[in-house]
Amino acid sequence: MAKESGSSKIEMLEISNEAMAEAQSSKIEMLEINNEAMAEAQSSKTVTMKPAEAEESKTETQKITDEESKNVPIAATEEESKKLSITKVEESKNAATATTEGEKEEAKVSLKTLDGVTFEVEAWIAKEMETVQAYIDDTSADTSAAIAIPLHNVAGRELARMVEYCKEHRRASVSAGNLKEFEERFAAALNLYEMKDLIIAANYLNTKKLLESLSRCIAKAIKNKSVEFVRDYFGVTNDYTTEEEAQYRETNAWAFRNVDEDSRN
Amino acid sequence: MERLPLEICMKIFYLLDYQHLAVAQQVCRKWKLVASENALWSDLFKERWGEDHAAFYAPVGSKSWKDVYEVQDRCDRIGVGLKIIREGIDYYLIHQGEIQRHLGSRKNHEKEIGHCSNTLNSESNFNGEGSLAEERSCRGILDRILFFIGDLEVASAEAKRSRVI
Repeated sequence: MAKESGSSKIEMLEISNEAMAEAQSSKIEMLEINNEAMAEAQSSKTVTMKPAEAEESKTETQKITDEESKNVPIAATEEESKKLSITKVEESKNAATATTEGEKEEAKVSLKTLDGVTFEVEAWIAKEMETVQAYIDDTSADTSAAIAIPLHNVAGRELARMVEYCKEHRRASVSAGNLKEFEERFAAALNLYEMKDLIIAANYLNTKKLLESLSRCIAKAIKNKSVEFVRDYFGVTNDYTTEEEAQYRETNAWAFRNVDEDSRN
Repeated sequence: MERLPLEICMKIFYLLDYQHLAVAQQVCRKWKLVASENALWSDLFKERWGEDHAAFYAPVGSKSWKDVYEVQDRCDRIGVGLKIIREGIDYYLIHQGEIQRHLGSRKNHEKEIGHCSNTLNSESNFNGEGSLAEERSCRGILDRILFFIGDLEVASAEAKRSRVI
């Protein structure tokens, strides 16, 4: 009798083992599906980015100049509506030659990037970049107007994106809904690696709003990703031994159990 | 591939929850240290269980906020009673979310020596030593019984959880 009950319990254990194996195989299938979805998303992003990049490279200088002239610093609501109407008029004249009216309205700051491109930005945009603002404060007012500020760690493409972000962010700040929509649109235009380059530039220039926005995007992106993906993305070398890695995986098993449960729900 | 500075990693870590912090800890040694910071885990604890709980359960001695979080999470999942559960491939005796005893693992359960018949006869006698004359096959059967109880507990806990949802 004792032997029979023992063997029946062993059989029940074997059944539970089979159930575990099935759960693991289904989990592997889900990972494969995720990988395929990621591949498709990246390929579609790559396709969509090409025409955008081409347009950016062609009209970059003209676009920046136009946008500078559009942004007039006015505080009142009525004047903001006037500003919007002015913006619409100027947008219709987008094909026209860039005007120099913007330069008369406010002092500008010259920024020279790593790859030799010089940007002229409004003073309030430079104020957003705390590193640039600190540099201006350290220099006398006379010379800062004349000399371009060198930015040794920032490439032209990143700086163009940052300037664009500051301008659109200010425009979108009128309402919370517009702001959220803008941030989602801005993030959707970037792939993970462009996001990473941009956050390094934002960290160097200390642009706080952009830094927070990008941190949120990257955190969202690496959730539910594997350890290997995170290593590759952040450029981190694995210095664990094989035994240590297996040990830590088991130590943190309590957290992964909930991952299983969440996926089942 | 360019590295992200550590301060950016910290900003990102503050936006992750405990499951993804567990993944981050497995990336490398440095990340294990950074992702184990008390400030991170104490924020997660307060967010989930409130400030009062955080004040009451604040870690003492060599414990960390991550340890406290783990224990509290286990209490939520399993309850505060005495139970045998499985986490990963290992089986544990749990009381009030704390691990009282490591019962073994499936891979090397035949090598375990700590089990004895006294464990089944008296729940309070966890440090009792088994008779040296006990046979290996008896220990094997005992291990299987304990592991089965652990599997059953885990399965029933999940069933209860899904029913609540």
